[in-house]
Amino acid sequence: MRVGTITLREATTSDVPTLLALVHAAFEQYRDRLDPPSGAHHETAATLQAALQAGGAVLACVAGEPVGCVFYHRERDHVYVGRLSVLPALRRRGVGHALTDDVERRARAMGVSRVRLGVRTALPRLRAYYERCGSRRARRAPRGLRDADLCGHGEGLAVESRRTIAAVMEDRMSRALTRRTFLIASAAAAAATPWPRRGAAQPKATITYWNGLTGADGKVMDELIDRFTRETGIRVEQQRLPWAELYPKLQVSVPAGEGPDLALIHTVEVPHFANDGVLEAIDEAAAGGKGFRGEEYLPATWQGGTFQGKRYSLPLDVPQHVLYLNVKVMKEAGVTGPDGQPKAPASRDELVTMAKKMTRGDTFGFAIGTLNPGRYTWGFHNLLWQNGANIYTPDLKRAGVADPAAVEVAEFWSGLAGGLGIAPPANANCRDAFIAGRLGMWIAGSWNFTGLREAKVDFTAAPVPRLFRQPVVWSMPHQYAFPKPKSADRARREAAWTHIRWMTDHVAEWTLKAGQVSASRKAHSDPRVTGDPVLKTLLGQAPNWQVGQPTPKWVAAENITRPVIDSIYTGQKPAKVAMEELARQINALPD
Amino acid sequence: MPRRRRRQTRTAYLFLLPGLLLFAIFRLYPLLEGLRLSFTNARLGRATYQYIGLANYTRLADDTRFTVSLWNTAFYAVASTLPILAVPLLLALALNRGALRNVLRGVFFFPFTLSVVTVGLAWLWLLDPVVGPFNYYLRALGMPARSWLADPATAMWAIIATTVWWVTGYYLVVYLAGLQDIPRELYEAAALDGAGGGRTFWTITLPLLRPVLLFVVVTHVIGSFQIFGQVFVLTGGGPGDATRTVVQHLYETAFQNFFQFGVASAMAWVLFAIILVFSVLQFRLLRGHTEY
Repeated sequence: MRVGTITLREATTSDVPTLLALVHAAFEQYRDRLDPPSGAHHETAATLQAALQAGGAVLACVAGEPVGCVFYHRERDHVYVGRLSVLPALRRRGVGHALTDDVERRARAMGVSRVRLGVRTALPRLRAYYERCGSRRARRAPRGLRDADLCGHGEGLAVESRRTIAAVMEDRMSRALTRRTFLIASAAAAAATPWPRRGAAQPKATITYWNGLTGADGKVMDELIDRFTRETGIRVEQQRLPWAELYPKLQVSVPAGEGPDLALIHTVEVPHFANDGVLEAIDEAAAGGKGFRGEEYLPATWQGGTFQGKRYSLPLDVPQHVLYLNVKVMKEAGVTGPDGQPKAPASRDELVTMAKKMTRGDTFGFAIGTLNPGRYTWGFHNLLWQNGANIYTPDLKRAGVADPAAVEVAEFWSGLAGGLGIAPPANANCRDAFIAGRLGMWIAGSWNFTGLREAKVDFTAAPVPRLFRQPVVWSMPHQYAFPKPKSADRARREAAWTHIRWMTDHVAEWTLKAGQVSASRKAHSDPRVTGDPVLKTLLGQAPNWQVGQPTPKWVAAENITRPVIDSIYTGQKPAKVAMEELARQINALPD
Repeated sequence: MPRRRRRQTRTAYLFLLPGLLLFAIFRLYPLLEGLRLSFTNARLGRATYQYIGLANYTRLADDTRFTVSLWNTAFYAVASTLPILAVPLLLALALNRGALRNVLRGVFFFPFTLSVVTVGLAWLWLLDPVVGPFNYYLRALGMPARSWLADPATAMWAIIATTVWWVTGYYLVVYLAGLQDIPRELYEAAALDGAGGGRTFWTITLPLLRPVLLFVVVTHVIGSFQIFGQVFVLTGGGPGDATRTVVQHLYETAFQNFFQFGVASAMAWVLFAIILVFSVLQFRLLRGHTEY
C-alpha cells in the first residue's frame, strides 16, 4: 500500500531537528531491547550535524511532511548507509525502499558499486529483510552496477552473489563501528521499514506456542502476538486449551517429540514437569545474555521458575489475590470509613465483625474463592501461608497440614459458612453474587477485575487483609518454558526467545489490557500502570507475594486437598480430623 | 467343510477384515494395553516402570475414596433408574396423541441436543444458592433457600434431576416408537370389554412395552456407571467426596494426580468387570422377553 507521492531531497543543516525527531521516533521500539543498546537513542543535534558533514542524509516527505530519512557516507571502496528511519505509522509503504534506492543512485554517481550496512545479529528479521531486498533488487540490477560481492566478514553467511546491498551481520563489526562513527551498525529502524511486501517475502520463522489463556486475556494475547508478528516476521501458532487439559497434553506430547516450541504454564507446574523431563533447563548465563536477570524480577516470581537449583522457566505476569470491596453492599450495611467510602478490614476480628453486619438474607459479607468457595484451594493456601503453615514442611519431606497452625486455618475455614455464617454456602458462584450485589468483601483472583469493570460493578480493590500472622498474598506467576524438543532447532528456539523478549518488553500493555501485573519490575513504573487504582493495589502487594512450594508433588497434593477442605467448609468433617486425614493422604503420595 | 462353504467363509472374513482391523487397533489393543498397564507402576511421562503384579488391585481395596466413588456410582445408578423409566414414559403417554404433540415432542427432545457441559452450567446457575432462580422463588414463597449441590443429602439428587431433564427427550422417542408398535385392536377389544384407562395401561400398555423398558434400563445402567460430565461440572465430586464417581476418580488419578496410569488402568478394569456383569445379566433378561 502506498500513500501519496514520496518526495526525496538532500537534507541540509536546517533539517537537523527534523532528522533527530525521525531517528528517535523510529528507533524507540528498540529501547531496552538491544544489548549493547542502539546508539540511536543517544543521537543529538550535534552528532547528526557532524554526520551530515561527514557524508549526507536523504529526507523523505509525504505531502510535504517529513516521514523518514537515511544517512550515508563514503568509505574507501563503498558507501555506508545507516540510521534508516521511518515513522512507525508510515511503515510498509515503500518509504524505506525509496530512501535506500536513492542512496544507491548516489553511490553510483560517486562511482561506487557497493553499498554496505550492518545489522545486529540479535535482530534476525532485519537481517532477513535486507537479504530479501538484496536478492529482489538483484533481479533488476541496474546497468553499471557489477555483481556486488558480499563485503566484510563474508564467511558463513548465506548470501547469493548478485546483490547490491550487502548485509554485514557480524555483531563484532557492529560494535567496532559503534563508537567510531555515528553510523553505528545497528541500522535497526530498517527492520521496521519494510519494502512493499511481495509474494516471495516469506515470514522468518514459525513457532508453536501452547497456553491456557481461554478467557478474555486470550484475546489480548492474540492482539499482542499479531503485533509481534508484524514487527518481527515471526509467526506464532497458538494452541489454546483449558489449563487442566493443557498440562496432561504437555505430559503426553513432549516425550513423544510433539510438544510446542514454547509453553506458558503456572509456577506450581514447573517442578513436576522439570522432574519428569518435560521441560528443558535454561542456562542462567544464556538467559542473562538475553537480558533476563534476577534483579529485574520480584524474587518470588523469579525463584518460582527454578527447581532443584536449575532454571526451567521465565515469569511473565503475576496472577494473585486481592480484596474486592462492593461499594453498594458496604454502604448499605454502613461499614464505611470516615470518608463514607468502604474500608478494608485490618484484622480477622474486624473482617468478621464487618462481614456479620453485611450478612442478612441472601447477602453475604465475605467470601474467598470464585466458583465454589468450599473447594477453593488457592484461597486455603493463602490462609495457610498467612499463618506460617504450608502443604509440606519446609524440608518438603512430609505433609504440614496437620500442624497446629494449619489446623487453626482449617477451623476458620469451617466457620465461614458454618459457625460464623458470613460466607455463602459451598457451590455458590461468588463472582455472580458479587456482581449481583449480594457479596460485600471478596478475596479472589486479580483476573476477575477486568470482568467486574465490564459488568459495571461499583467496587474498589484493597490489599489482601492480614487474617493471620503475616499479610501474605497468594500468587501464581505465569511462566514461559521450553518443552524439550525431539531435536534441537536453533532458529525456532531463537524465535521463541525473541517472542519472550518482546512480550517482556511489552508487558505493560499486557498488564493494562489483561489486568495482570508483570513479574519484571520494568513495567511497574509505567505511569499507565501506576495510574490505575486496581493495578496499583496489585503492585503494592508485591513484597507479600508467595508461591507454591517447589515440589513435584504440589499439584497432586492440591488435588487431594480440594475435597477435604470442601468437607470442612460444608461441615461434613471436623477440621482437625479432616486435616489429619489429609496429611496421611499427602504422605502416601508416590514419589 | 465343503469347498464352497469354505470359500464363502473366506470371502466373508475378507469383507469383515477392515472392520476387524479398526476394532483391533482402536478397541482391542488399547483394552489389552490397559490391562497390561494395570499390573505395572507406570506413570505417564516416566520412561521406565516395573511389573508389580496385583498391587494396584489390592491398593484399590484400601483406597477409601475409590470405595466411596463406587458406592456413589451405585447409588446414582439405582436411584436414577426409576425416574429415568417413569418420567419419559408418562410424557410419552401424554404425547402419543393430542393436538400439539409434534411441537411438544420437539420441545422435550431439545435438552438432549445440548452438550453435558452446557446442561451442567445451566443447572449450576439455576440451583445457585445466592443468585439462582430456584432459590429466588423458594424465598418468594417463604421457604428457606438451600444449597442443593453443597448438601451431601441433596447433591446427588440434584444431579439426578439434571440428568433426567437432559436425557428425557431421548427415552421419550424410544417410548413413543414402542407405543406405536402396540396393535390398536388390543385397545379396541379392551374398550369393548369395558376396561378403563388404568386397567388398559397395566394390562396392555406396560406388558407390551416390556422390551422397550428393558432396553431403557440396560442402556441407562451401563451409562450410569460411566457418569462423569454432570458431576464434574455441577459439583466436582463434592461436597467433600459425596458425589465423586468412579470415572471421575479414574480420570483424576490418571490425569491430575501424578499421571498414575497403572493405578487408573486397574480402576478401569474393575469398572469394566462390573459393567460386564450387569450387561450379561441384562442381555439374559432381554433374550427371555423379546417375543410377544
